[in-house]
Amino acid sequence: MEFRGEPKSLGLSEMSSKALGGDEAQSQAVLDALVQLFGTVDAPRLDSEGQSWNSGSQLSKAPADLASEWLAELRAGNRKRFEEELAQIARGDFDDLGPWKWAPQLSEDWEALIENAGGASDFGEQAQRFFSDYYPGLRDSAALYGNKCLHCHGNEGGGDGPTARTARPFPRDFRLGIFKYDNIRDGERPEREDLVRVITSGIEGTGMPSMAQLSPAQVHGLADFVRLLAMRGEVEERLVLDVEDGLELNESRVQSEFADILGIWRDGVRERLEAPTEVPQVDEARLRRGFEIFHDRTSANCASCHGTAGKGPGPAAFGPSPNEPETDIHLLRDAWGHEAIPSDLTTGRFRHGSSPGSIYERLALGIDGTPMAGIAQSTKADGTPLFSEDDLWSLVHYVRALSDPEWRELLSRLESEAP
Amino acid sequence: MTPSSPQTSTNPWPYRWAFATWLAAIPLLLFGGTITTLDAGMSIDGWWILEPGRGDHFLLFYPIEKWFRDLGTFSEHTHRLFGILVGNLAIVTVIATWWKDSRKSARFSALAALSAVCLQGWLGGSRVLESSPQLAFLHGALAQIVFAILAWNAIYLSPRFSASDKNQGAESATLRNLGVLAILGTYATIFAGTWLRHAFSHGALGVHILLVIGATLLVFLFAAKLKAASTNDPTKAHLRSAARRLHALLGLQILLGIASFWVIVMVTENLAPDVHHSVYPTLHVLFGALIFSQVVVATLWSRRACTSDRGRHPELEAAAMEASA
Repeated sequence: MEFRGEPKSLGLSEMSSKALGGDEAQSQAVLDALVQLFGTVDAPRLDSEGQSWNSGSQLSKAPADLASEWLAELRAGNRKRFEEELAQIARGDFDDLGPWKWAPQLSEDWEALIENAGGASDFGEQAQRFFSDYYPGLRDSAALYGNKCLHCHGNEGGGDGPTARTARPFPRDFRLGIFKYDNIRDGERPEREDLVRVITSGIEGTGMPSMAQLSPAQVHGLADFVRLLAMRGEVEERLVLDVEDGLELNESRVQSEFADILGIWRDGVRERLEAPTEVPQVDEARLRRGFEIFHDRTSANCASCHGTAGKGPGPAAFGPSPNEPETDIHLLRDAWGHEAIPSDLTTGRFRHGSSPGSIYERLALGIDGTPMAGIAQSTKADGTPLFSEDDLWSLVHYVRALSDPEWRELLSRLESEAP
Repeated sequence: MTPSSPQTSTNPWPYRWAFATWLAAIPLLLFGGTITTLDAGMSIDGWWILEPGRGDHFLLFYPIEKWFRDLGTFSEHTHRLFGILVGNLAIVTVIATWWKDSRKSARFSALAALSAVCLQGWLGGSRVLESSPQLAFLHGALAQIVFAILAWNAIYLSPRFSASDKNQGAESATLRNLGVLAILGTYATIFAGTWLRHAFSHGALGVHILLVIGATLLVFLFAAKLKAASTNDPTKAHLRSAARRLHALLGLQILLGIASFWVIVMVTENLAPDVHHSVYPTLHVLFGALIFSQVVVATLWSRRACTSDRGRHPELEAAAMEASA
């Protein structure tokens, strides 16, 4: 009995199928190319020039972007996760360990280790290292994704899992390669730590849960698998466009598209922006400056989307319907075609986080894939930044004050004084 | 209130609480069915402690703005709250039964009902914690059995039932046997329906439709026999009303089944049904549960005879017995 919400063979997106006009031969050609590049749900892979990325279950086979500063945390997390197994190994008892749920590769590799150990005198040490150095390969991460993530994000990461029918906001569709809450400038692809952070802490105000109960290694593994799904989606789009343009999907074209996308993800130049650690004090002067920036129509113009009182949505969010000009509709859309509704800032709850630093980052960077632009990149005519760091902090404090009763009187006064 | 005799109970409170439990299970089933129809089973992370690591809300204190975030979350949380209500009412029923009804069988019945509710609640929580479609299927398949147990329990604890006479006649035995067949047929249909909703295979649809035909015939036959048994016999008027209810429920259920089939056709043709079309399959599930519990209860009653006075006025009964002696 196959139940809804269980992993199935990776397929094509609805958009791809429509674009290919239901042509089975073309659809199969695209699917075959994707299987060749990314494997299947039971055996996912990422092959680049014969080198498989993340195919084993040990740190030694982890992706190259897993920086050394993560290793200590991963090992500590593994020791905690495999506490019982390690205690058993320390007693010299290697029987009846495994199999492990949502870790088929780990289970197989353990069996292989036992078989090949041949009664080695240092097997205890080998076994300890085996668990301490566990890093989920794509196969284990795919299994874990199927249990934890698929019901919302869908089989191919298209944000179309069973729960997505009613979940609002919509679960992320990874396949555009766009991720809203990263710390990367200019809309470039997120880095590992951006995905790890979101997976670990979840997203407030949405159905995205915190996965903090998983070990750090499992979270990193999930980040790897999410990247695979994102890359797969982007390559799929390129291949479908090639087919639409009448191009043949031969080996060299397929590899070329793949190398392009992999290159963007793996080698793309990214500039991170993180909030300064020192947060300046809130005072009336800062709040006045924040109020000015928020309402200034010639610069940040936040009020146009979020409303003059920050309750959102503001006048820029609405406009006449193309079919019925006398009717106003919500105009703002995100990259996935959904309504992008400017948030009510007076609730004090923000999806990226409510700390001053988190709000700073969102104001500076914007939210990728939505009309929310980052203001850190705004420049004057001479190329100098339009807003200083101090300006940003003023805006941060103003936004936070919108939900703080302590500043209500001042904010009302500012509004009444405004021209 | 007078204490009950070992064989009868005149105290209405165990029955009232048991009936309230069954009544509260109706919206519980309705929301549970909605969750399956909308695939909203995993809308809320966690059980008892919701959104661990991102709020850590105790279930009963889940913030209202999150409760109403979207339809899936609303359905899932409301379902859980009704589950807690049913559980608490089942506990109160056990307490009331222990206090007011000295019959071992009554206490066993109340405990069995509570155990069934606890098992179903545990399955629901496990489904979420394990993120298991298989447990979701089991939770859905057992819901109607638990609902029927609650109905059985309510009837069993009622003074009217305990004061009724056991009818040993051959006709009653036939009626009971037909009732058992109707129970099996109805549940088999429900099971196939659960398979269809959780696995959505065309094979399941075919099996469900075949079983529907068989179960409908069995239930109609059972209802006809109930009606026949109650003709010209005032001690079996309760069977006549059971027959009427079965006829009404069956008629509505067939209409809901046709509407649900139409929704399936739309999904098969990739015409995503509107959320409000989901009402038909959900009501179809609820009415299936109502029919099943009615068949169970009618089977329980099938070997009973009672007058309208019995159980309500024991002093009248005693006076009647003296007069006849």
